[in-house]
Amino acid sequence: MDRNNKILGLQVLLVCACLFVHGGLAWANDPQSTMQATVENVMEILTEPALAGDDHWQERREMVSEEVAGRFDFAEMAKRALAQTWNERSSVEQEKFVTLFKEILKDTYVERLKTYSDGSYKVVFDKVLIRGDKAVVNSLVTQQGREISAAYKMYQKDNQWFVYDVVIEGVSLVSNYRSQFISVIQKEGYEELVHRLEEKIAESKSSANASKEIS
Amino acid sequence: MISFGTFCKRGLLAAVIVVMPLVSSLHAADGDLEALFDDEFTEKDAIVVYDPLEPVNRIFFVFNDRLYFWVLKPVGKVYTAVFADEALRGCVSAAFHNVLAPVRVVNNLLQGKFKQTGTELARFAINTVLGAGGLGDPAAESFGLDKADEDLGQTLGFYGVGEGIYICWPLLGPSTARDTVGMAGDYFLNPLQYIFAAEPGTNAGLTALKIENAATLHGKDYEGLVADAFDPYISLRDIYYQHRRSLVASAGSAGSQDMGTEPGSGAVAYQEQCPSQYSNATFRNLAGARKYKQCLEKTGAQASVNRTQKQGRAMYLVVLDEQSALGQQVAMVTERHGQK
Repeated sequence: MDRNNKILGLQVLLVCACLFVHGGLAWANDPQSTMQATVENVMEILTEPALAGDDHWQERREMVSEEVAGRFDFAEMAKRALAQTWNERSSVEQEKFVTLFKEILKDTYVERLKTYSDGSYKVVFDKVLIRGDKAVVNSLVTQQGREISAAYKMYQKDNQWFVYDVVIEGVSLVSNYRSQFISVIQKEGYEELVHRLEEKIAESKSSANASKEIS
Repeated sequence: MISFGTFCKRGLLAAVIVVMPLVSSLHAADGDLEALFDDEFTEKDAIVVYDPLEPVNRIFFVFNDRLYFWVLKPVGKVYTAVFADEALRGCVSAAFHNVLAPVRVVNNLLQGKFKQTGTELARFAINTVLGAGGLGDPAAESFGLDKADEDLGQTLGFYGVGEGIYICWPLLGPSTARDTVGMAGDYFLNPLQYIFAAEPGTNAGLTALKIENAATLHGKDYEGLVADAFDPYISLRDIYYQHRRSLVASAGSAGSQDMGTEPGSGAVAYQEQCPSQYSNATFRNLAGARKYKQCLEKTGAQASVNRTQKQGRAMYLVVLDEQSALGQQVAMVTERHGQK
């Protein structure tokens, strides 16, 4: 049983990889198709019946993380989240911050995607705006009559498009982090911010382990 | 002198109008992509928020948070057990949305959006008759008539009224001085308070039902927000501002569709965030123009705001003084970009 699942999982991965490579090659210069391919791959992993259930969440999580990490420029997001205080940090501090922030984004973003597993969500890419090496790709997520707009801010690097911010219903993810980071830095200092990031990561690690033990 | 009961009732009603759209982020603003476009790839500051009442606001934030986790969520468990079908709870939410049509009709009208006013009127008629009092949304499903959500806070913003200070009301949640005035005004457009004027109990019960219903539908969003945040108070405040500003900005752009798009109207989008774009820009409201001017001045540039008329409508043109200390700034910014 377990072996069967693994084989199926591998097949899914292969299919996704093929889709991804195909998408990448065919529409390397089109941000909308690129993003659409990523989202479709993620949805496919999430709703794959062979990987359904909490038992396989860790497995799915890894696959989704990988998919997301290939399209999202977490380092750029980290930099933008620190805004003007970024330049005040040494290169060692910057590197550490990027690593921590990457971890946080991966944890929270992928964890949020878990709710999409039930297959009741539909995503439609409705609008795109491209100007030079930057683009905004808009999608509408619908579930049971509720409609939410999710926009991806993207930029082009080496002929590929990467996400540097996600804007949901007009609320930018990076801006939201920025407001909080600046507030923490102003009130308690940069060290405290790093401390809180580490705490948060430890928290989500321990809760992930806890759910593993239960299952 | 109004009684405490009346005060609570009004408060709860106002919550329906202000908090719920936020917690639920129910109604998509027409995602005006122009508003999201970064012309410059620089790191911006945190959004500008005026929050002198922060210590008091934080206390009320904690109060509301407890209210959700200690009251609304446990009650929601019972409620969800009775109304297990999420689609059913969606119907309840749609019915409440439907009955508040006068708020949207009047505010669309006030902003001169006649097409959207008609749409909302038609939606109300279709959904009330065919959708059994608004339980469904046949107007959108079969007639392609999408919601045109407007409230008085947005209307005031549309006419350039600034947000004022941030206020986190107990029960009502995040608001600003402007949106508080708005929700007080919208309160009088809520038909429920006239229909059940003689039955305050029914009215309060309906309001409680609406809040509880919304809490069961959208509580997960709030919990996720709190779980992910480093400072939930700041996070919620930021979300409130960003969301409201995007609604007001899209209000400006929806209007521009009626007027025909003219060059420079994209600048409306930049009104709230300081654009790192050193050029003249046209704004639909004075507050936006002033903010843009302030931003320019922070970078050492000099600018002035001029009022003009375009197709019978007041426009505000921010004109940059080329002679000011701008030259250096531009050189610096270009240099920084060159390195990228």
